[in-house]
Amino acid sequence: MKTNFLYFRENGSQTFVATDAQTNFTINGDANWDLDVTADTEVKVEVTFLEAQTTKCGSAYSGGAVDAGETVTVNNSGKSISTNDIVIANQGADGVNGITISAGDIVTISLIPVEGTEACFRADRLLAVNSASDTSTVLKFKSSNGSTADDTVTLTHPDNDGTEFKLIADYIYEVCNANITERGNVITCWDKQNNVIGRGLAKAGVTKMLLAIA
Amino acid sequence: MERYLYFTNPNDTGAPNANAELAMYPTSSVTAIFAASATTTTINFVPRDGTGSSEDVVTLTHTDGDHKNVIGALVSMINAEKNNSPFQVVSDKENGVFNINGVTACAITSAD
Repeated sequence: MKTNFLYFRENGSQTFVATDAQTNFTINGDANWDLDVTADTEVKVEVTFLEAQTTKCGSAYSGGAVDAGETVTVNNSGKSISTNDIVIANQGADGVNGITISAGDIVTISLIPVEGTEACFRADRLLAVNSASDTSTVLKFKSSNGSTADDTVTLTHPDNDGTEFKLIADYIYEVCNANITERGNVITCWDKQNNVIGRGLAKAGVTKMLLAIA
Repeated sequence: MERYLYFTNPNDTGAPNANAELAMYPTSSVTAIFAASATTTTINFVPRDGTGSSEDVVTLTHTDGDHKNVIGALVSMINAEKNNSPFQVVSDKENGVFNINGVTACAITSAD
């Protein structure tokens, strides 16, 4: 049976340019992910070095020296989380798993894909679009795994006396009924990683999208 | 007309000969498609055991970070927009046929 498919994707990565020998990089907050990362194992951390140096990495990596432009993936023992920060162990303190960051080094922190970061739902399994608070609207889909709970997409938006609810409802109605099935492929409602935001969601000022799979 | 997605994953070089080595699902049984890891995407189906309280899952292995392309290609096959065929081979290890760029393997799981 032909049906439209609605695609949602969280922002996949954040990039920081180190300003000094810093170890902490803030990844959670309104200006960061849509979701809050709670464990360092949820992210991949890579460091791209500005300059060649002789003592930058612990023995678990290159053994110390790095080239300019070289990228090293921080292993699980070399990273941790402290509230809203990813912390990269300093090589001086951890000679095995640590990495010493210098000004100009580029740190890329990527979400490791899981169900909660990227999903595609059938339009014909949409149950409802409902307001959850004055600043959030929830799209509910029939559970994809047989659970009695629904799969949900929670959209956060400004509060303008309900204007946003109607804009979002209109948009979801449009994408569910858009005659795109003859062309196949998916309708991208929210792909923050690639800055593709559905017209109606952009108009409603949606700032966050959170997936919850039952 | 109902359409169907076809998968094989024999554990040896021969034809599928055991549970979870071959499956075909009607496209109407697809419930959602998710990223599962950096190199895998899962397709959830209404379970074949009839309980409706779990899901059957086909996991496609693909190029790192290629979820959106895989999802797009899958939906294209579900809606059969290319050849209008009701029988869509997605991943057929038995015959070395992988009809989505970057997909190299699949795994089939079911509570049945």
